[in-house]
Amino acid sequence: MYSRKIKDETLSFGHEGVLFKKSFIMYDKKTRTLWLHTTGRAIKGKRKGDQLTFFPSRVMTWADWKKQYPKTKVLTGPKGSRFMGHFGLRDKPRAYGWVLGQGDTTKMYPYGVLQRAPFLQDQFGGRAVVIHLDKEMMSATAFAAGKRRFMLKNKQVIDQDGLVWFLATGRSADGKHALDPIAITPWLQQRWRGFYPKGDVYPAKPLR
Amino acid sequence: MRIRCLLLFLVVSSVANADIEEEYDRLARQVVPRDGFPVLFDPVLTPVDKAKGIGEKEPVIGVVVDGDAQAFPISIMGRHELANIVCGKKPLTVSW
Repeated sequence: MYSRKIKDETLSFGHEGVLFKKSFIMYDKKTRTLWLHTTGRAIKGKRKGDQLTFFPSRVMTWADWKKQYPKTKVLTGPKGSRFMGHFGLRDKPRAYGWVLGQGDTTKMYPYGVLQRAPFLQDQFGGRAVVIHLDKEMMSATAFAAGKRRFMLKNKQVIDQDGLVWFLATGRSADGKHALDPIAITPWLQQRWRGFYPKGDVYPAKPLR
Repeated sequence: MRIRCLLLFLVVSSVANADIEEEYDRLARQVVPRDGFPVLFDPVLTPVDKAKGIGEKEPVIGVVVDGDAQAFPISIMGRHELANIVCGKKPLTVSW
């Protein structure tokens, strides 16, 4: 998910119908510039080089989402074909990873690493982050941790003050606190490497 | 051997520095007509109590801005691929 606002202008995107490096191409209605759906980068046209900003979103079951957000609105209407509306991450999870950042600063957290722990604490872009993978939904969430440090106690995620947290939503169990969400995007690891040859992978490989 | 190494280096470095637009012109494939997928613009969303036909276990892409929560079932996004939306006054694009 991206913000459509760039340099004080709001863009609307259409579908170019083109595949490039297994990523589909969007075009903006105003300038017909072509944008890569996977990276948010303008690659051809007047706005070439411009970058859309990722916006935090998440994938949940409809039941869980409604429970978390009882006043939600939802898109309804005809469904896509089985192929296009299929959630492919579940078929071969190990091929995927979740990525923070974009442009020159990106970091991949492979499924194999995320699935081992209930959450992961790391430094990214100069700040402390906490990342959680819902294995059943194959959906990751990331939040700025600030000064909070998380730990597991009696199967609950708590911080140093004993506050209980739900990392699927970034909200405290008492509903009084919320962490600042950070956009995190699922990628096929190999495809990501094709776009970001210099991107970091967690954990950093030890120096030889 | 040295010349071969140099040639290989030149080829590798030119590929690494290749302009993405040139690469696009070479590799892009038109697979469906432009806007062959019915992209959504400011779609009208349904309040939760009136929403029908969405399975409880269906995955949805969810976004919240300033208390405005919106959900986009992946099964429906598969038909549109792209939705230009506004959530809590923020213009966003949902892509699948």
